[in-house]
Amino acid sequence: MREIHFDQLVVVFLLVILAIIYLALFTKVQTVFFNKKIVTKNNATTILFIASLLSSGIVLFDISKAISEAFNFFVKEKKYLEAVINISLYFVGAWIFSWCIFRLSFFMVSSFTKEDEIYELKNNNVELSLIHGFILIILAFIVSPALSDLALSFIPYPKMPF
Amino acid sequence: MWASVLEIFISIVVGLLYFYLVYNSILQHFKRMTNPLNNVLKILFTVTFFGFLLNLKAFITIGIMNFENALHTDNLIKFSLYLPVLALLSFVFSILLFQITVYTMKMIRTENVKIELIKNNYLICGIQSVIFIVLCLITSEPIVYFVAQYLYN
Repeated sequence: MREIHFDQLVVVFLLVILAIIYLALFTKVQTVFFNKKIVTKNNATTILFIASLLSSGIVLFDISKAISEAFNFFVKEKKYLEAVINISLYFVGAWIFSWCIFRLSFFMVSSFTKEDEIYELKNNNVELSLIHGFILIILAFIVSPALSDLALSFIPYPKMPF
Repeated sequence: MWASVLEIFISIVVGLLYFYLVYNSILQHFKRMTNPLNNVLKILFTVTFFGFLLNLKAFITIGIMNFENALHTDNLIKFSLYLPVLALLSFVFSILLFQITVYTMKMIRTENVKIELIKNNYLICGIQSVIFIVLCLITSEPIVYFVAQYLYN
């Protein structure tokens, strides 16, 4: 008789739920931010909005590996509470990290270009928003694997004797 | 050697059939909104197609690993059936993810998503595209591990 483990199916379900909450919350917060700070809707703001969502998705993609690792490890060890705590912390940490990257990129772009970015975005400066978008995406690509490694270091794997 | 040739042949046939199936089914879905497709729906169609292919790639990888097993077990016919089944599973899983994306969009946006897409709203298109691709990327690995249990047990 075949023995099938449904852990991975639970991981899929968990990741789908977490991804929906993560991206929905990020979209909501970004919508509020854009409506409050930039107000106008044009091509430049649309590009920046989508780039920021994509960069948060990249962070989520990397942290999802740590989430599934933590789930598999703690469930195998029957430490359910620790599983919930670790997964929640990774999730919240990744979300805050994505938001911080977005805010940090504003300072970076403003310092590179010596221009008032909010004003330029209001004036539909597509080139600036494209540069900002690429900076965001590349930052997420560079930094999120390190974030994932950091998250994995919190899983207490047994030490190898060599 | 013949097993590898058969593997390549089946992969190509399954891949082409999958492209045909996905292309027609997604195109029909979008054409129900507006025909001919506007720019936003063309972008969304391309991204959705790409997402379906990402899932196919993940599913087919375990099928090909199985083929290498088949070289040692002389059970090629049984294993050659795995690839079409995996492609079909990938198709069903991708449709499920696409539906989840559509419901998520309805949940997070106040405006009517379908009407906004018809009205060429790039923002809605971008959000839906990112959500679908992220869902495909993060779920393909664990679902493939789950399916692999059936093949390797």
